[in-house]
This record gives sequence, structure tokens and C-alpha cells, in this order.
Amino acid sequence: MASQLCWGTTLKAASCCGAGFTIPSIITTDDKAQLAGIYTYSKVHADVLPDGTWRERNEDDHTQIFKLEGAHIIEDRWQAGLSLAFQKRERSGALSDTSSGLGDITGQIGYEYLPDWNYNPFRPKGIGYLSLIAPTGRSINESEDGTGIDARGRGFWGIGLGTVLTKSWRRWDANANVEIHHSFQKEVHNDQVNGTLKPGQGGSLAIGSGYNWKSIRLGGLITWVYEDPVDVVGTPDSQGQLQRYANGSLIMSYLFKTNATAALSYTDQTLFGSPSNTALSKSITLFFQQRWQR
Amino acid sequence: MKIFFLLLMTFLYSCAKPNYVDPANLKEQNNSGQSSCPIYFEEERLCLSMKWITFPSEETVGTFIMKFYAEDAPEILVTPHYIPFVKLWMPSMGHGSSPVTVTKIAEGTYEVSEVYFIMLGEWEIRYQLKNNEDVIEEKIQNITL
Repeated sequence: MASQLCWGTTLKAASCCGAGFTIPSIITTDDKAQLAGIYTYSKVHADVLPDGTWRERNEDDHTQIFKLEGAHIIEDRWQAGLSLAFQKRERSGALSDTSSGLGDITGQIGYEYLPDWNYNPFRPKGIGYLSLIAPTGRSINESEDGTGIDARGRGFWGIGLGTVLTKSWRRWDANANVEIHHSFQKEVHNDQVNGTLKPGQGGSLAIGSGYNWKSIRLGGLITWVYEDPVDVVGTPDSQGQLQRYANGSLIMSYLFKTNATAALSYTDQTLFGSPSNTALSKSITLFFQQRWQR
Repeated sequence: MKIFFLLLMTFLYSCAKPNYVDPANLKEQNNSGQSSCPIYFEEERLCLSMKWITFPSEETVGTFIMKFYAEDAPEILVTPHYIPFVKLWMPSMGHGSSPVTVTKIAEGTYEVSEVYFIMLGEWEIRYQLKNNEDVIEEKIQNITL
């Protein structure tokens, strides 16, 4: 049961720039398929400069994300998944505005390289995955009016490699996710930039744990996220700074008898890590997932 | 128990340490300075100074005045041959902000309005002299919000 409730490997991105590099749905149970609907409301709390100083936001800058995630076993230990996001952002202040549209699309292929057939007390279940991100959401560099309100993605094609590890002991469970990714450079020609945007590598590490009681699980998850600087070669010529932040999440989930899971989580980016060059948000997520057995 | 304390120390060490700075205290640092020629354009041998009329904030759009003058005669304002243009840029993240409006109000004097920074942080005000779309010369002033 623990692995069925053990949700929470989706990464939250820095709120300034739309969705980030997310890990789509991975089947960590023995099921054949799963489909999840996810609603997230997040509000920017502060901006953190590259020197580590913080600026508290007074204006309201909030984002609602509706996400659909699905995954299906394609052959024994192989699986494939897809994640679609629709995003609406509203900002008050001197240039108040609203914008909505499609975010980045992420797909992945996973392989269960560490099966848990003999219920070993120590060895976790391990699923490796290769992911691809398509920049269907506009990046902040491609914002039509320059305000960035219409930025709903990172704006780069990207590939990632990672693994999810899960383990449960009676009522306790633990999970981890580590991934690295590479974003590809891109030509941009608009009022803001006339040249090449050069991102680099990024990565994340998530560690979580939970306690299960009857059909309820209470869990926690911390995710550390790192992105290389984005340099601009052209006009203007500009050297970026690395981006770093951490998400701290509390998750309460409930397992229905119909092989479905509902969850409510609170995520705070102001609590952990040593953030740099990012906007920090606090968010609430509602999650509902239906699974189908093999 | 040892494992518990090890985990506890790890989590405590990893807690964020907010270091808030009030942007209102930064206003005076963001003028162009007291030098006789704070910004110099070699192409036209002109100096540029800027002074905020309304400093931008989250709730307010900013306005500043920029004046061009000869290096050896600061009292004589000179209209540049090329067209003055101002661009706002956040280098750490590699993006700009909403476009500003540059209006000539007197000989060698321009009002730059609609100045708004879409997020708090370190920005550049890029002063450009342009010939149509070509940037002939560009000077950068750093500004912290």
C-alpha cells in the first residue's frame, strides 16, 4: 500500500519562469497503467538574488497549474509516460496582467532495473528513466510584451536521465529520486534578444519518507534543484548566474478501495537549501490518481 | 538513535537562512553618480547623466531624466546624432523587462518613462545609441532593486 500512496516526485519550478524540468508520472507499483489529474496553486513569496540576499514580494503573483500525467506499462518492466500542463498566471502591481496557455510537455521511458520480487528487507525497488522535455510553453525570453507574464516553460528542448527508488518497511516508507538533465541552446530573435540562449546542465535530488496508517499516508519530501546559468550570445551579450532552490513538501494522501489515490500537499520553497537567483513560492497541490491493475 | 541525529543534523544544516534587504534603502545607490561624466559615449564624445524622478517599485512605474552633454562643457546639453534608446536587462536570468518609452523634452534631454522591472533583483539599464535597428554604442549601468 505504501508505494501506492507514495506520491510526490514531481518537481516544482521557480515561479518566475513557468514550469521547469519535471519528472512525469512513473509507475512505482505493480499496476499496468495510471492517470493523474493535478491542480497546483502557487504564490511567489520572495526573490533571491545571486548574492543570496532576499527581497520580499508585496505584489500578488500567483499561478494555477492544471496537469494531466499518465503512464502505461509497454512491456514487462518497461513503461512510458507523458505529462501535459495548462497554466494560468495572474500578477497585480504596476503592470497587472493575466495570461494562460499550455506549458512544457514532458515524456519519459522507464525501466524497472531493480524489481522487488523477493521483498528483500534492504534493497529498494528501482526504476530508471530517460525523459524528454518539449518547449511548448513560451519561455521568459520569448515573452511577447517583455513582462514575462506569458512565460509558461523553460523554453529549451531537454533530455534527462534519472532514477526513482522506493522502499517500505511495515508502516514506514521512503523514496528518492535523482536526475540530471541537459538543455539545448536555442536561437531567439525578438525585441528582447537577438542571438543564442545557451543553457547548460541541471539536476535534482528528492528524498522523502512517509508513515502509513490504514488507508492514510502522511509524508514529507525535500527536493534540491540546480540549473546551470543561461548565457546570451548576441544582442545583448550577457553572462547568466546559476539557479538553486529547494522544495519542502508535506503530503497527506488517501488510498481508495477502487485503486485510486487522492492527495493534498503543501510545498514551501523558503524553508530549505541555500537558494540563489530564483523566485521562491509557496504552493498547495490537489492530486487524484487512478490506477489499473495488470 | 545515531541515524536519527545524523538525519536531524542534515536537515537542520540544510534549512534556508533568509537575508532580507528592503529595496527602499537602495534608491540613492541607483542614480548615475556624482562624477562629471558618469557615462561616456566615445562615438559621439558625449557624457550622459541620469536622475530618477519616480523610482520604480512593485506598485509604481518609474521615470527618469537622462541628459547628454559635451565632456568639456557640461552646461551645454547636446542632442546625439544617433537615436537614444534604453533597454532593461536582468543578466543573472538572461531576460529583459517591459519596454520603456523615451521622449525628447528639450535639447539633449530625454524623459524615460514606463520603467518597470518585472521582478526584484540585479538589473542593468542599457543606454544605447541606435541607427535604425543597429546599436552603434551601448553603456551599462547596474541597478539593484
